[in-house]
Amino acid sequence: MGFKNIKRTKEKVELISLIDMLFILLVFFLVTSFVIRLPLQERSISIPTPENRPGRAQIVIQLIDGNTVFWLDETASAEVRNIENRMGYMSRSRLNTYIVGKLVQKYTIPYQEFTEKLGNLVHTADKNPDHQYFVMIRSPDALPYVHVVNVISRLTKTSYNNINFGCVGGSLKDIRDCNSIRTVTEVDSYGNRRNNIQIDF
Amino acid sequence: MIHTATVEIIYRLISDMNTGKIIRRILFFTVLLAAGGLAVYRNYEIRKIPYEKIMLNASEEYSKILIPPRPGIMGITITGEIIRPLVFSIIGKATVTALDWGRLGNRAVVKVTATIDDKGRVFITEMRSGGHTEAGLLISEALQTWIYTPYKTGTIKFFFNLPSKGRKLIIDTSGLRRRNDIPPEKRVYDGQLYYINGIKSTDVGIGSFL
Repeated sequence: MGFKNIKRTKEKVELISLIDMLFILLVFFLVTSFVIRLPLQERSISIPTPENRPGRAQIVIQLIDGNTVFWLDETASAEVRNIENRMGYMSRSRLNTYIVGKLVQKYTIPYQEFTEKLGNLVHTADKNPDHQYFVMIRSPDALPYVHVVNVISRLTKTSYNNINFGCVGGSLKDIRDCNSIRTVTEVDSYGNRRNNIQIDF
Repeated sequence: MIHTATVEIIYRLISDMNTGKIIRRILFFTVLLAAGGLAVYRNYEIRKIPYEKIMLNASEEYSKILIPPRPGIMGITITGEIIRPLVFSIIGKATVTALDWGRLGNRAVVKVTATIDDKGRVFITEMRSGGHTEAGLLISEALQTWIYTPYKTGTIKFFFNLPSKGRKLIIDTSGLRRRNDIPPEKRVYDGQLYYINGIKSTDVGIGSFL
């Protein structure tokens, strides 16, 4: 590394080009460092993800096919509790089958009645703006999604947007083959005691 | 490659400076030393970071993410109707006759044993009256019109002791039982058990006294 023997013609460094390059490099490093930092930042972001527990709804709409729907709401809990009290001597598996059979028999409705029920629900929601409703729509994979879209479009016609909904894939067979169906007494956030129906798949 | 270019640029910049050779050398080596120091410090800091935070393998990262099942796939909870507590009390209907406390006088001592049936109707089974002869009649006339909410059945006893300085009416509810057909999760509370005009609430005792 000798500085003394330089006899070469002085090659001036073009400062303007150098500054340009430095700026380009600076921009390059700034951008790349930002991109590299993104995955690290993403790790620290808390994204709420669904918990591994039963979905909770006031009304479960199980689409069966284009013509019939299984509509399960809060009135069914009294029915299930009544069966549990009367048929308590049965084994749990037989009781499950019996309860589901009775519910399917009673709460499976034709599409026209279903649309009327949806209309009534929207009407009720409009009359009770302070009340929040949650509807779970279950649709089998084979059924065209347009049926779900039709249900959603009806549910969103409320004046106060107080009907919330969630869509889950699933068929009536899943409900028929459920591991257990039973009533569970719970205290809600307002301190009210409720008889809920719990279905475990 | 970037490092070589940087050294070359620094070298040329220092070469072009109008200073002495020694100073240029010192400056060059100082810059090199500073750069070397920074590189060593960088390595030292990097060693402290866990390996997986230095090397980010995108595909590996995403393969580690567990997608939780959506609510409703594993099970459903359908909220039921609110279980409202049941209140055992006199049904406020026009047919129910109020007992006028003022008409009983100050000397009446009346013990009434009655049965409440499944429909909440009151049937007097025994009555002992003393002090004021008309009091027993007035009480029985009123009691027979009382209808309770049909949540409890059994025996109810009323003890009217008007000369008493303490409680002038005692209602014994220990013989009442909730009906069997009421679901066990429903609670039955006692409400208004008497319909008497002109009585103070402090003069009444309710419970199992008799």
